[in-house]
Amino acid sequence: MSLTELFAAHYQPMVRLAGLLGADDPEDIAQEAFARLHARRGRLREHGAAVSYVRSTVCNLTRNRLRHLKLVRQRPLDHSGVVFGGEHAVITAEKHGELLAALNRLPRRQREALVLRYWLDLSEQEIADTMGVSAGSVKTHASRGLAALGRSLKEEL
Amino acid sequence: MNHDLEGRLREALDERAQVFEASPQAWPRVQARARRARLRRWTALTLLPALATACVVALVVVMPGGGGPDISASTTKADDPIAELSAENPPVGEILSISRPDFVGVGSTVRIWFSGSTRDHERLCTELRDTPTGGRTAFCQPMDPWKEKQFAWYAGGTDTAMPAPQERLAYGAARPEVAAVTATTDDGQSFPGTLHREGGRPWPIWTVLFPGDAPVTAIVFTDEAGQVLQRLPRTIPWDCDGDRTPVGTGIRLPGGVSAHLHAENCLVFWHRGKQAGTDFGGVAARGEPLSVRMAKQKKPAVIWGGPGQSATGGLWYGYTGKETHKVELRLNDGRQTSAQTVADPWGQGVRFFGGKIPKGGDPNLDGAVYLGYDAAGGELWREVVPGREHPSRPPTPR
Repeated sequence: MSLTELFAAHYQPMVRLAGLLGADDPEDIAQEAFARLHARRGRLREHGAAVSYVRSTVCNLTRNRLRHLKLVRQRPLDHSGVVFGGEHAVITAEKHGELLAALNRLPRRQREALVLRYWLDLSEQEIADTMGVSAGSVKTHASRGLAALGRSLKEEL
Repeated sequence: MNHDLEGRLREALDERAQVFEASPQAWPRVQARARRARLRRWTALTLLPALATACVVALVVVMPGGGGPDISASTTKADDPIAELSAENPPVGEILSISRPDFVGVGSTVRIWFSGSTRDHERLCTELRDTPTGGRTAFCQPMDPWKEKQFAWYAGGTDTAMPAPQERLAYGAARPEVAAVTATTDDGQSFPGTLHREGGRPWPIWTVLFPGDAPVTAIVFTDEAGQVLQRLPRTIPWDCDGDRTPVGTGIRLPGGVSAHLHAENCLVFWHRGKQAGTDFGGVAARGEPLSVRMAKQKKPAVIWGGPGQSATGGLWYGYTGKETHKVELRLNDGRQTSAQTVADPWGQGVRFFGGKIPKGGDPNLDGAVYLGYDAAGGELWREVVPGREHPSRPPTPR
């Protein structure tokens, strides 16, 4: 598959992945990821490897964006004070607003694990490769994330 | 139930994903990014920190195509990578050479040339010869297509060198419609520049020289009728560069770095006779103490650290709030180091620190953490450093 075909098939999903992971500018993230793939295309000839590379890059770039540079907070993060801006505004209008808002409040790795599992339907090993952690960690992050969502929604797990 | 929650989560994610649209212009933008990345890889990214600051901070950079400053660079006196850069970026048209003995500390000669073609992506390259050490710095910046109402492009200069040299240089590319370029001050002074149209270059190069302590606030470009085509505002407070003498003797930090304050709040780090970082804060921060600037940015610390950011890749230094008495750096490989902070003598309400990074460590990699402690050893803040790319598990090429 050529790079342009790969782009046509996977660009939109990568934008959405960045968005679901909380990027403030998902298109910027996805474009940067494909630009980096462009630079490595000689070494990533196999389709699966290329998609895996882009997915992993989207996660890394989104993570970096969220941390956004040096030193953002004076005190440990107090989620009650977090302003969600435009994303939050969208969420409140949605049917699953409460659940998505709870997802946004999860620690970064838990959120990643849940999005990769429940939106992309990746296997544990694929999620592990994407996140750069072990499969065991994926299990832990996903399980804790799900439990935290349940608690947020006051569900009985 | 958990099963129900999983189902709801799938549904919610599907619904939420629909919100994120893809632009039809995405592919050309990806291609443009890829071209810029190619340029970056041409040479090692070891841009002289002072130069980087000069290029990035000095003016509102109006890049064709809307990108940020994107610089491939090389700074060394070994093995002449400058020649390599020149070979990979062969001049289109003549090289413009400006020799000024008064560019103290930043180079006595500046050579500027275009490379590439419109089809192959044009770039503007610069070589500075540094007088104090004999070293040289060279870099190329990609030029995207001109925007409709864009007539000039700021490429760089010596206009953030501190303390202020006798004379400063700013330069860039202009469209042929530009007939004159002038550096102007708010109090009516103006310093005419030069448009270099000769030599078969694809675009005129503009250069402006102005006194180091002149309060220049903009570079103005006009047409033959004297009508203003474009005005590039200068974003560093002129009282920073207008101040020749730092306040007091400065703070000596471990690792050979020293911090100096100019004017009211213009911070400059030096290391071995070269600028190793500046924090001017921009026009909006004029007169504000560093503590106020930091609070506005919601930063517990401002740090120059590791390769590409500090004076040498093995140092970290910066400033933090007055409550922080110790700063710790935990690298992603498990090693750590810490530095005691010292109060600033200028009443800026901050404390400075600095030191060496464990050998080979890179605090800019994913997973590194900075922590701040109070006088009693209690943790005040921590921040995970954003990584350039995840270092541990890059996708394996198959």
